Amino acid sequence: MKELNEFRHIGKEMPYKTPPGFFETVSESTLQKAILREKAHKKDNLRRLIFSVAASLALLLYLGFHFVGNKVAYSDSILIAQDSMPIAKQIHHEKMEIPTAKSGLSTKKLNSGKISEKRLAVSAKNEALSDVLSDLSDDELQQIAAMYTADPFINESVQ
Amino acid sequence: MTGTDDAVILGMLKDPAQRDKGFVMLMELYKEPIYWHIRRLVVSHEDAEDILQETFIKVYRHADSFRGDSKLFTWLYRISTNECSRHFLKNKNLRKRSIQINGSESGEPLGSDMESSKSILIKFQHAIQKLPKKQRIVFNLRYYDELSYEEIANILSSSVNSLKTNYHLASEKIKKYLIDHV
Repeated sequence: MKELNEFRHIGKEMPYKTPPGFFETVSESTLQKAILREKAHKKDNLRRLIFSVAASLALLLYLGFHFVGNKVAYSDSILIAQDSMPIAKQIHHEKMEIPTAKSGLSTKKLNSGKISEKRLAVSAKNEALSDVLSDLSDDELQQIAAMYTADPFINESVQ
Repeated sequence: MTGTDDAVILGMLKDPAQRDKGFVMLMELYKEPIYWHIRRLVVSHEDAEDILQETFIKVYRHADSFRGDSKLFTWLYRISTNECSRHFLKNKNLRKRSIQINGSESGEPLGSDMESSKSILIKFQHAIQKLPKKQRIVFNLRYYDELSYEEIANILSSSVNSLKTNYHLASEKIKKYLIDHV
């Protein structure tokens, strides 16, 4: 306590003044402020909650559109592109795909009956035979017919 | 300021039905010592009033989190001291400008709020205002509030030895200032 007496001659009186009635009113005014602050804090919390829920939903929608939506759009775009091709190109496109057509999409299209693999092969064969026959003269055709009747192996296979 | 009072007030603060009543009781008990503690640090009445209200509003909002490890007044002193430190940080630039304009470190509010007849008290306050922040807080808590070093250590989260050193340095500087200026 010795150290506290070092400034005994000065004392502990404060040279500051407070406005009249300050200590009588400060308790009530502080309580009112505290209540208001509490209400504001609760509102802020509610606002924060709503914002975070909205942000989460927006994020989910974005992620859903970004990942799932893009896949659907990609497969749709392939179908649209194929449908919009001219038929001749489609046939060519499908012919090209036949040897490597492992994907479900191309085989599905072939199986759907639009143009079957079998029909394509037969029509190609018929076209080639008729082209050859149309190029032959009547004599040549008669010779081929005679060969056909005379040839025992061909006749056997037909029978 | 007994432990029983503190326990009753804390119980009321934690009970939603009695919260407001408990808060008024708490303020009636501690508003004056806390106000003067703040006022000695920040000098201006307006700042002291704002910080006083902020201190008690924090107690109102966070009474549930007070575990009772320390005394209630220690908690109040700690909150108010921290609020004062925040105030100093916020007004650091303002204070520098004020010193340049007025040419003295104590600035304008000190002179305007004082009674001119008590010149020795004014000089004494000038001397305290010139101390570094930590020494000023320790000196005020020890000299005016007459808190023990252990209590001050709880408030400032500091060691008793460091506080004793701070108080000794502060009182030496004040003595020197008074010799030079009175």
